[in-house]
Amino acid sequence: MKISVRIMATREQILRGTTLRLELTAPACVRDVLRRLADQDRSLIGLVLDAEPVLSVRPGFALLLNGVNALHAPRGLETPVAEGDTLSIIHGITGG
Amino acid sequence: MPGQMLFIDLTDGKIERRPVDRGLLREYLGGRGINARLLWDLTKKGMDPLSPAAPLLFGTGTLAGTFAPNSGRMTITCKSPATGLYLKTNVGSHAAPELRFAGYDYLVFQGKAPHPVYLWIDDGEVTLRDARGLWGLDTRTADRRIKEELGDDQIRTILIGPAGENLVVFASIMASIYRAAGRGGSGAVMGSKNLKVIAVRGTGDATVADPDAFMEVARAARRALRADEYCWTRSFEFGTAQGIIGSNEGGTLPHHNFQDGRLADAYKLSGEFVSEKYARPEACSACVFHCGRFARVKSGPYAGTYTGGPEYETLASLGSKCGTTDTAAIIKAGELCNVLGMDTISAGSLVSFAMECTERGLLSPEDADGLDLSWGNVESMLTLLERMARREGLGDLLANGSRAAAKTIGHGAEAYAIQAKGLEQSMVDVRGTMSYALAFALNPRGPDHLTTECLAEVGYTPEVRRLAEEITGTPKATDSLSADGKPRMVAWHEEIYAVTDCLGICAFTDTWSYTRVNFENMAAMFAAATRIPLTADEARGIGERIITLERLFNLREGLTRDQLDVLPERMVSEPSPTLRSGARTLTQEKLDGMLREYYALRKWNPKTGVPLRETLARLDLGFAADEVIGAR
Repeated sequence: MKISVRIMATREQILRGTTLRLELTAPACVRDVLRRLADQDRSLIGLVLDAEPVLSVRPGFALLLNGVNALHAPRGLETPVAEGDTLSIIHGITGG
Repeated sequence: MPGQMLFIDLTDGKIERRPVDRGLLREYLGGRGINARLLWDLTKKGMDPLSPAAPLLFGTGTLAGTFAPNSGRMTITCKSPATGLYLKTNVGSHAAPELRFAGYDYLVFQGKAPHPVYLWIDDGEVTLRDARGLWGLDTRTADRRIKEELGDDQIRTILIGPAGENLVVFASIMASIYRAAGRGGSGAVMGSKNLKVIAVRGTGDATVADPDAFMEVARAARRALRADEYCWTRSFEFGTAQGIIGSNEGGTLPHHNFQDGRLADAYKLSGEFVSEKYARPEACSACVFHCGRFARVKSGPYAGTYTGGPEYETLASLGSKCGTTDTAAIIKAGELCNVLGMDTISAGSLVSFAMECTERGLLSPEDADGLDLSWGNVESMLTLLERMARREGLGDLLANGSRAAAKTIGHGAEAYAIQAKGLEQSMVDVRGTMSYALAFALNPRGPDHLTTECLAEVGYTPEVRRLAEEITGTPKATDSLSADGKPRMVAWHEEIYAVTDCLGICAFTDTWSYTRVNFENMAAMFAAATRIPLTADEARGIGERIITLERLFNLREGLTRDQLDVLPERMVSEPSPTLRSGARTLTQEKLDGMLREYYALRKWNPKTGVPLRETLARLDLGFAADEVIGAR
C-alpha cells in the first residue's frame, strides 16, 4: 500500500512542501512508517526522529495521521495505517 | 510596589487618585483580577456597554515594568458591545510599564466627555486635553500628532482609530499603534466616551518590596525560559505564525470560513515564509521570546505597506479564511485593521462571512455596493475593511458583528456566522481539538483562545506530556479527539492564564514553554514584589475565584447555560471534511458531556451551570450570591 509522508521540520521542507510516497506491505502501523523513513534517510535521526530508546518523533514535534494526533491516539504508534493515508511530522507549538 | 488608581469622570473632567487597596490585591492579585472585581461593582445588570455610565478599566499587571519575564502586559476590561457580556482583553507592548513608571496601575474611566479628549499622563501630572483635532485620524497619524504636540517622541500611546469612533463592535484599542487589545470591541467603548488617546510618559520605576528575593526568582524564571531553546528560538525566528503549518497539516486551519481546514499553499502563510520575505522580530517589554513581528512590503502592488504583525490569527483570518494566501495583501489588510483600529480576527471573519453569503446567493453585488466578494478577492477585502471602519454601505451592516448582520440578512445566514455569544471564533477549528472546544465554549467573552489555550493537549515534549497527565490524571489527555481529562485540563489552563494576566506576564510563558513559569515562581515573585505572602496553591485558588467572578457577571445578565456555554453552530453540526476523525469528531453531545464534568469539577450546579452557594462562599464571592443565585 502507498502512504504519503510530509515532513515539516526545517524552513526548506516547509517552503518546498515535499511529500514522500512510501510503499509498505499491509498490515502496517505508524511505527512501521517511521522505521521505513529512518532506514531510507538516516539524516532524519536527530532531526525529527529519535532512534533511542524506541524509534519515535523527537520532543517538540507532533505526529499527525490524516490530521489527527497519532502519537497520543488510543493505539499510539501502533495505530494501523491504510492505503492513501498521510502522515505529517510537524512542530508541536501552535496558536497565538 | 503598587502604584495608584486613577478614577476619571469624563463627563465633568474630575480626576481622582486612590491607593491600590491591599486587600483587593491580596484577593485578586492585580490586573485582570482587580479589573473583574471593579467591573462587577461598577456595572449593573442590563447596562448598555456604550452608555456613559459603563466603566472602561485599564489594569496593568502587578509585575509590569519589572524584571519578571515577559511582564509587559495590561488588561482592559468592560462590558462588550459585541456580546453584551463580560469582556477582558489583554495587550502587550510597552504601554503598561510606562503607566507604572508614571505611578499608575489602574485607570478607571466613566462618563462621556462633551467633545473628543485625550488623557495626558506626565508622571504626576494628569490632564484631559482637547482632541477635536485628532478625531477621525487613523492611529498612526494620531500617535504622531500627539508626540509632536507634546514635544516628546518617547511618549507611549493607547488609542483608538476611526472604527472605535464609529462604534464598530469589534473596534480595538491599540497600544503603541500596532499592539491590539483586539477582541470584543473595547475600542467602541472608548469611542463612546469621546476618549481618543491616553498618552503616557513615566520617568519613575516599577519598584518591588524585596528586590533581592524578587530578582532571584525572576532571574531563575528567565534562565529557565531561555534554556527552553526549542521554544524561544522558534518564537524568535518565526513568531506566532510558526503554528500555521501545524494547523494546516492537522486540518484545523480555517479555510473558506471554516468550510474546511486545509489548503495546498499554506506555506505562504507560514512563519518561515513571512519571516524570510517580510518580517523581523519585535518584542514587548521584558520579553524573552520576541514573538512579535514588524512587517514591511517592499515591492509589488502593496509596496510601502508597513505594520506590526502579521500574527497567526491575522494570517488565518484575513488569509486562508477568506480564501487567499497573498501574503503581501494580508499584511496590507493587517495594516488597515491596525490604523483603523479593528480586531483582525473579527474583521477577517466578517469578510469571510460576507464571502460565504455571496457564494450561497444571500448577498448580491448590489448588496455589496458593487464589490465582487468572491473567495480570495483581496481588493474587495481591502475596500470592505475600510467601509466597515467608516460604516459605509454593506460595511455599516457588518460593523455590527456577524450575529447581528446575519439576523438582518436572514434566509439562514446565521449558519454562516461563525460566532458564539456575538464574538467571532478565533482561528482554530475546534472540531479537531476537544480541549479547545470546551475552552472556547466556556470562555466568558466568546469562542477564542486568549483566555485558555490548552497546547498541553498536543503533548509535544515528554515534560508537557507528564504535566498533562499530572493535571488530568489520565494519559488520554494528550489524545486531541478524546474527551477524557479535558475538563481538568481546561480548568488548569484557565487558572494559570488568570494568574499570568493578573501579574502582567504573557500567557505564552505558560503554554509555549510549559512549567518554566508556573504557579510556584509566579507566587514567589508576587510575594517578593508586594510583601503579601502567597503560595502556589493560593495563587491557583485566586485564579479560580477570578474565573468564577467572570462567569457570575454573565449570569447576572440573565443568561442560561445554553446561552453561555456554546460554540458556533457549524462546529457541532457539520463534520469538517478535512478532519478524518470519524465517530470521534466533535458533537453537541460530546461537548455537553465535557461541560457536565467541568461543572462538577468547579462545584457548579450540574443542570444550570450556576456556581453553588457554598462554592461562592469558599471563593469569598458570597457578595454575589444573592444577586445571581437568588434571582433564579
